[in-house]
Amino acid sequence: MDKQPWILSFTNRLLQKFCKPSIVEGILGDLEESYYEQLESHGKLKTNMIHLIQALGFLRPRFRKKDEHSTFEAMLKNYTTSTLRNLRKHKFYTFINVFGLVLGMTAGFMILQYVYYELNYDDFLANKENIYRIQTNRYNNGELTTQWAAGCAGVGLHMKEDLPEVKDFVILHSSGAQISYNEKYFPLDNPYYAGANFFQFFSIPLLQGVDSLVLRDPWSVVLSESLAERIFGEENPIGKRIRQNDNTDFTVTGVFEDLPERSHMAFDLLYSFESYVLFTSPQARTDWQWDGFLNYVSLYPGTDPKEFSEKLPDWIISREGEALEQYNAGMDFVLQPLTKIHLTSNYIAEIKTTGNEKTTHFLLIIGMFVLFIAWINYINLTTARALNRAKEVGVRKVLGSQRSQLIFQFMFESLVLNLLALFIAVLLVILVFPAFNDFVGRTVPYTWPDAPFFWWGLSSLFILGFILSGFYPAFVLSGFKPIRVLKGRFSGSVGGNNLRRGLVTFQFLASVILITGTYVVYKQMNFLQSQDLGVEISQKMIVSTPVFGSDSVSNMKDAYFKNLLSSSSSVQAQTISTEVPGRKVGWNAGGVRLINQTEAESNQYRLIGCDDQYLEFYGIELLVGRTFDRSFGTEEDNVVFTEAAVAVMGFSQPSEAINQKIYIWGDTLNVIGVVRDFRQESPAKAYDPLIFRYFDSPNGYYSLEINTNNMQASVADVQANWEAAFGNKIFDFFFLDDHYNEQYRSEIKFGSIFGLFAVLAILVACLGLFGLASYITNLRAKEVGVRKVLGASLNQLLRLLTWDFVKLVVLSIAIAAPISWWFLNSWLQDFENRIGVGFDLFIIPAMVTLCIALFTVSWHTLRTAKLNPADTLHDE
Amino acid sequence: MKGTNLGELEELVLLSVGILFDDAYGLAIQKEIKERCSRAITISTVHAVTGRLEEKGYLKARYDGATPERGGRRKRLFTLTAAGKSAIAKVRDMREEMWSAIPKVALANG
Repeated sequence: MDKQPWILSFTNRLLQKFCKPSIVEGILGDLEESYYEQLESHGKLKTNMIHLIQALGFLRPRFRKKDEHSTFEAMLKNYTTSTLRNLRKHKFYTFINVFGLVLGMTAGFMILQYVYYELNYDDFLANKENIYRIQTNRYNNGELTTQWAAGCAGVGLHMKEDLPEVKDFVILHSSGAQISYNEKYFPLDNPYYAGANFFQFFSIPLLQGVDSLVLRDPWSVVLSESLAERIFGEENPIGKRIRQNDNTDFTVTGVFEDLPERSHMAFDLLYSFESYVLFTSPQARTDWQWDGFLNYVSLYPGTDPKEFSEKLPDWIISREGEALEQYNAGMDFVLQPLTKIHLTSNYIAEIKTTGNEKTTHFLLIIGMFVLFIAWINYINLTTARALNRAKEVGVRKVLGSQRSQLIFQFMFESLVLNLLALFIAVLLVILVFPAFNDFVGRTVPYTWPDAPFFWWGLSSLFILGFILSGFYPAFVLSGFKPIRVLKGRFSGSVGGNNLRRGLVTFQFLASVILITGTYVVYKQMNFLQSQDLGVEISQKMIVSTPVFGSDSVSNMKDAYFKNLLSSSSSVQAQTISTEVPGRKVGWNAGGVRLINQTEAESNQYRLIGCDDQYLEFYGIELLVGRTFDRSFGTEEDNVVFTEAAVAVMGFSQPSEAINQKIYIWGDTLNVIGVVRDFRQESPAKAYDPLIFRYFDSPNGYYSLEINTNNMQASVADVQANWEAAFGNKIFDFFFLDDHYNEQYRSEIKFGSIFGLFAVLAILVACLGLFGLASYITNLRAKEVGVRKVLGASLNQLLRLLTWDFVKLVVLSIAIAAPISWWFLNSWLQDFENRIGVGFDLFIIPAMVTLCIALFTVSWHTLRTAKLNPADTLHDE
Repeated sequence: MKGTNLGELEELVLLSVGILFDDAYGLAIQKEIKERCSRAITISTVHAVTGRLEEKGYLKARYDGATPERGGRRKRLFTLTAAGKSAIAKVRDMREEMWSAIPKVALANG
């Protein structure tokens, strides 16, 4: 037999200590025999677990060694008694202490789990540490104009060809296509074209199919498990043919397990990239001026990504230098580590909405604040009440207690309190967890509290709290000199007063910062929502168009649908466009310039295709010229600019742009009008240079102004017309104002989380202040009595008692101001359109804090000041 | 200790000790009960019950039979005492008496 497993030697030693010697040999023998039996049928881990449970089962009184001389037991018994007595005797302090700790632990844990969730995206991908996404930045005339998540097409392929550090690459391109099977249409969440090696590259397991083959050939498609089930039900999907956009058949070659929620990727369907190449051109593999392609590369292990990145600028010049120079353009690539994408990337054409690193860090800080405030409460209250315990400590010392024993005793007390708090916190967490997840808008993919994080998260909070909050009081309390305390010459100030003041100041510092934060978030959100958008978004119903081809049938169907709608009473106005307000514009047009300018003077703009109703429909104000109008004949060669676009083109007045000829995508177009800037995206962002171009039936959205008297009937009517025109194509609609406000959702959520925890923090801080005030005013009751007898007025007494606390709060406000200034500035940086940082941002939170503190303290000060001196002085 | 009544688990353990005869120790009893009654109980529970039965005077224990897989430790082997034997006999008699007192009708096609 080999060396004894550690778990056996552990349990052996434990039980040897604990169990009666008469039976211990039989017990240990049984356990060991059973251990080796289990090992034959289970893995090591499971065997260890079973063994541990079996062994711990022996820790019951029945098997215990009876040791009459155990002082340890007697000591524990004594400590338990005195702890419980103390807790019971001072119910008020016990309550404040435990309640504060419970709130701190619960809040801290909630935030920790939120942050933990955010920080662990894409953890499931094998080889994640060597994979990077190539993010593309484009410059015009030296200025950064476009930041793509999905950048230029050829970068991955050429990196692998040219740079020895690159082991492999994979390319992805988003597909807007719709699919049908047996004439039935299925909505897709995220269809993409993917390179042949996609599944090998990411080591994503396939449920059916071979990873190197499924995406190799053109016209093959791989489905997610849930989509396959939706389309085919029980049938085996392999070899079945699904139709894309009513015209191209794809054969299902594989099925993959649905990707976890915690990934920056989300696909339900992947076509082979070869199909896209055949649809378009082989340049989709190699072009450097064609954007919209996600490229991932894996580097050989041991490659320093920093060194690698430094090589890129020269490589870009050698590859594309000439072409870039010609347009006075520039580009660079940023390597995004796979696991960092979720929190650090928010560029054009992300696969799905990404998170926000700053928000996550802010939340972590808030959570820590709440926790620290709770721990500080404990330290403050325990040391402040030292006087109560001084005599006990004195007597114990005289009877022979050593300091280490006293430390143990007080640590034991704080252990009991922390355990009690932990117990309640666990219950509370389990209770409010679903609500909290609802609140932050997240579905946690595992069942709490089964997840290991739940347990190690809570227990580490507990252990940390116990150590942080337990040690200092234990050292202070155990340090009293028995002669002094027993002689009664022991004064209230134990030298810890300064520390206590410092801690209270910190508590209020944290509270002030949190209140300021809440106020700023609230104000900024209010500011954004009260902005004039320059565009009408209410009462608009948006219906996604079916995928139109460029054939005449599509145009006819589109015209038929529009006709039906215009004769329907539930639709008052309509328009069709490639984008609607509230969406990042997907068409990015580079190389746009005046016809007489050189290529080097060209710039990037965002392009929206729309019909002649669009600008009027959305109430976008015309500044000069005219909007599209079919009565002028064809409008295909005309464009309308926004003010921002006019400025980018280099005109100082909108009127100067009228009738200028510009060059876009190989066409020469005429500027017929300029409209006022409006908030295409959230009002938090700066105005984008937008160009409107005329299209009859673009793929995108129908915007309908519907009759809101009977919403349901109107929607049903539109749907009936849809079915008349497009048959069973997917009818997908939303209301624009909801959609538009969706953009602030994460900020509003952040604001409410911030507010919630700020309230918690202040509540806990006030609990502490309340407890402390009650204690300190009690200590000064005699002083107050004497002063009263000597003629002090109630006002003077109040001022005297309150001033102590007000001083601290004012100090913390003063320290908080620069800190909160720094925080709120860095938060506001994310908004290009933001509130100014004025004095009110500091003064209002400061006043709020001061009022709350005064109110909390005055309860006790008032009571003490009103006491009859005869009562407080009579025992002298 | 309330009287000398046998609990159900105590009865099962006594019976198992009887069945195992010369090799009745904690782990063997646990396995016997698991096999015959498909009841999973921890080893500590077995030891607790045997301890109780010893106190009641139904079992007596001795140390013997060390094996390498026990780390060279001896087994704590149990045998039924006279009192133990009569205790399970009494339980059986009582059950049989009660069974036979059930009218046939009550058991027919219940």
